[in-house]
Amino acid sequence: MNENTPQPLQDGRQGFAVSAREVTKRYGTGDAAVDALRGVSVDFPKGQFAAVMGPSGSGKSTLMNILAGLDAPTSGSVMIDGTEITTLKDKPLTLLRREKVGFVFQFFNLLPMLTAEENLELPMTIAGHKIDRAWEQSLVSAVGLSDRVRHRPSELSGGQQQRVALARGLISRPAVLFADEPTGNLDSSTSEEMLKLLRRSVDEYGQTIVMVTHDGRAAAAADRVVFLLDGEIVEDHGHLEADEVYDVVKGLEQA
Amino acid sequence: MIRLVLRGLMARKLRTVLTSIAIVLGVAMVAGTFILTDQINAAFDDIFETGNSKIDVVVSRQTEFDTFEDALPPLPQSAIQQVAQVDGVEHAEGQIQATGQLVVDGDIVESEGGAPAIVVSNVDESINPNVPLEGRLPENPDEIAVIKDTADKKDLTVGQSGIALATDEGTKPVKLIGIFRYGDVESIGGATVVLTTFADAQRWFEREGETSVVFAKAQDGVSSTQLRDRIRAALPDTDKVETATENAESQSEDIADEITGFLGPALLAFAGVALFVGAFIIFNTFSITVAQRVREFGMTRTLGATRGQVLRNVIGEALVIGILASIIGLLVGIGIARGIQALFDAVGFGLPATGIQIKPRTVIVALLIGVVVTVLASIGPALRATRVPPIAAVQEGAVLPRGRLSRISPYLAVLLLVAGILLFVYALFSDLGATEALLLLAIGAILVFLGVGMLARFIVRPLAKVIGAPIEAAAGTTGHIARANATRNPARTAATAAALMIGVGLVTFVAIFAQGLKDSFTGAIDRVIQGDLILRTQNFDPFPAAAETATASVPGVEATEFLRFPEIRAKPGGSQVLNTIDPAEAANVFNFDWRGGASDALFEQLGTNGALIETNLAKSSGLRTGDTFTVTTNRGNSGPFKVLGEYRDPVLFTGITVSDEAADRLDIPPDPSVGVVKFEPGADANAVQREVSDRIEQQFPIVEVQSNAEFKEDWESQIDQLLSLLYALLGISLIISLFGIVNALVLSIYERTREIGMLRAIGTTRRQMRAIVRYESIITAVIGGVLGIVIGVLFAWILTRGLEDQGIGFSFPILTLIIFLVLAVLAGVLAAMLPARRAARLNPLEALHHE
Repeated sequence: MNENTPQPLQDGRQGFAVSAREVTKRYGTGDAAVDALRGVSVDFPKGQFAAVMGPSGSGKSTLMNILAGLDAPTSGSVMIDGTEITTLKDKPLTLLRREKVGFVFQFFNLLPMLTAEENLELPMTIAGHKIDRAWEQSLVSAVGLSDRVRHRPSELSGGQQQRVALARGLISRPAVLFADEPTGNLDSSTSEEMLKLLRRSVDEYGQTIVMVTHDGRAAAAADRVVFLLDGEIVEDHGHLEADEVYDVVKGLEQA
Repeated sequence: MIRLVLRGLMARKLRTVLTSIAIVLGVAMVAGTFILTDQINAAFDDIFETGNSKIDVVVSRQTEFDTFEDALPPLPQSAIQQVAQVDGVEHAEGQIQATGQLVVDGDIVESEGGAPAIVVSNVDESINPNVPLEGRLPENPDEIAVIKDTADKKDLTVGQSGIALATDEGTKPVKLIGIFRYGDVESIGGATVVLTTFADAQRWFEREGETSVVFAKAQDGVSSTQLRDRIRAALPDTDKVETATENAESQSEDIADEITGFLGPALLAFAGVALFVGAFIIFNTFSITVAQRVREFGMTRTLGATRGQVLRNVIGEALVIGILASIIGLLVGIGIARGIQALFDAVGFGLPATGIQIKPRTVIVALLIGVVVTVLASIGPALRATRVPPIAAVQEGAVLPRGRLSRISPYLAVLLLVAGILLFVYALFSDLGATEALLLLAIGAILVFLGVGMLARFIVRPLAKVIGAPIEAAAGTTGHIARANATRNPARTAATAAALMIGVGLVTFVAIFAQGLKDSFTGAIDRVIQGDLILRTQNFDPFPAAAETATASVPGVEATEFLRFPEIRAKPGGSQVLNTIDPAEAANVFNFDWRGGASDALFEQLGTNGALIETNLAKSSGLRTGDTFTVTTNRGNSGPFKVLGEYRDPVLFTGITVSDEAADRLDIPPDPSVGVVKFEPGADANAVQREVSDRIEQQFPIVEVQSNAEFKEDWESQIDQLLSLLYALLGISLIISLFGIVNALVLSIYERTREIGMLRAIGTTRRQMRAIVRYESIITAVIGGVLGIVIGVLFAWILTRGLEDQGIGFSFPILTLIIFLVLAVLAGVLAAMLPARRAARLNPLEALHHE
């Protein structure tokens, strides 16, 4: 299992979509302090589809939030597309998220009063950028919503809503798309479709994706599976099949 | 149960506070009104009780009816002797009571606000409420003393030179020989008070052989009532004999009726508006929070709570808020009372008041009103809460079931609206008394506001689209999201906007109506007055008749017309104004709008029993040319008059116009209220005006000399002052509705926490987040503004149609309305400040994980 221990890190971090060094996160102080992350270092190369797994409380969500610039680490460094983000104030950090980061959330988080099209265009319109209509067109047809763009979220199924959310995450061609349990709120067949779409965006557009999940089948869609336990990366695999993922998880739970 | 309610309120502190404010201010206005009017009444009670503290009986002249004129009709001086001879009288003395300004080095000493300039003659020490502080009280000719407050106004000292008194004979130089206090106080409500000798006062104020009142002190062992009865038996029926206590009470009541009898209801009306707006906000807040707590209600239902318990839970919350807010409102009311007093001071109506007066009535009414309004407004939302089924506990995104009345509510709204407008029209065009008409107008207005408030949700979308268009064009996506937010729950936006609509509607109405008042008056001056100067006192109080002779002799003056307009009783016709003119000059100075073949030639035919009547009087009394009627004055003199012709002038010459001779025959006091001066053709207008001013101001400093243009400007600025007073009072309602917007935004933001988290995550800056909230606030406020302006214009239009006979027209002050809209935008910006900051401050990560 030697090749599956954390990979040696390289010096030139600039080339990675996301790069973390010695990231710690401590909640509270004194005796009540809890270390959610205990020095995590990890790089995600461009065009990689990585899954982050781990049991509840392993720190996987905390790690993703810090990598995405939604939360600040207690110490350590995080770079997105070559930019150090831990020292940024709210405004430049927001602008960086706007330009470089895409999101897909477990609960879709679409604005109910906007149409599907308006929702998926949000990252561009909020930024005041011109929308690349050809790119939008191809995204909409890729997620299979060409005939539903004028509908409001309440008129769409859960799977359709999540596909709008995916298109929204991709519209700005972000350096990295963070997906937080993207299939957590979908049934198995729509989950399947969602994972295929994530896979396609990596294969066809070279999109970098970091996905937090505890669904083994979801992790099996990724190129790489990183396992967290007690705030540390304990295993780092290449592509795994679903049953292999469950084996690792079982091993971790027994450890 | 109560603990649950209290916990719930504590958990939502900000919301509870914001909701309470809606009621606090309304209750504060109610309490403030009571406190202030009680203070004013108590102040007058004190003043008159002090004045009569050392006497037992007061004799004055009986009046036919009360008028606003302050001069008491006099008694013959012989009455003093008659009283003195009554058995049991220890001491009897007359007193002259008049008005006259103190003049120091040529300048009038102004009384505060609307307080009078009192001159009274000094009385014997044994019955005198005045106590010298410096010097002594007047005994010899030309001696005066002033109250401490008046002396302080100009830092006067005893023996100082350059002191004079404005009298009916012109300004008289006098000797200041004393400064006194009145009972225990150094000021009587800001009035200037001058003491003179009895003989001087008689001479200076045209009271020779007369006295205003007679005071009597009883011998030991004779009670006030006994003495009153004995004196009453000795005097003619035309004399009014009261004990000192009765007299103090009736004087105080008369003044209180004049001031607080009008002020109280007027202020309470504004308090009612504030409470009405508050009720809208309470209703809206409870509707929103009930909708947000659907899962909680479902949960309590699954745990076995009955519908009744859910109902009691929500109403219990309203009850607690109502009680808390009312108690705070009562305390704030003390400040409001002071604030209103300061406001009146600022626009020149000073009101005397004692220290804080909180009567049980104030406490009870304020608490009751606050609690009842809050609970009533919460009943609708509470009933809807009871319709939440237990299953809602486990449904993601469970929504509030529609209320039972929701299907018929649009029809009900239309019904209210139509009924309101009909009431409004009925109140104006039928023959109702003023009180009934005002009451119906108010009810009509309330119904219209309710109806529009209920219907507003159907037009929120299109309105928001129009109002949001420029914002969306300028701001792009943030504007679009804001507009979409404003319309995602039209009923909520409508109720929020409706609260503002009420205030804006009334402000618009008042603005248009005030413009109508200005135009009618200035228009009438232009049409009717052919003179060049107008002489009058600040409050149109009568001034010395000698001012006319002083004016007429100025070179360049061709004609003068000095008018009296006492209130009289006509039969038929009732209470009317009697305009008295000099027939010789009337055609030259006035331009009457004759009706039915009447002409200027009638002036010369007036004689001592001819009368010209205004068309409104002709209409209401049925009097026609050739008919006769009776006029009775305040002093009880009456005489027959024959209608010679009709004219139309609902503004300046309302009622009846007769000759000076006729007025003299009725023994109407000679003091005119207004003088009109016409220059000779080709005279140097500026020079003549200067000369008239110089002479008048020196002799009769209370009289102002103005050109027609100055007079009109003065009138307009007085209307503007009144207008700013009304704006300030309506401002409280507007402030309440601002809090309503704040409250609704805060609650909406709470609901949309996760959306805000998402928006921030995908790159919305804090500034953009604030903009989204601000634009939504602006859209809501402008919806309220537009609806309010439309209703206000409608009200004003109907009202001015109804008052056409009174010469008041409708105008459309477009600039003012644009200013109101701009202010609505600013109000939106202001209301958004706190909610926008809260939205922008939300931590995106925590917001995303908000339940």
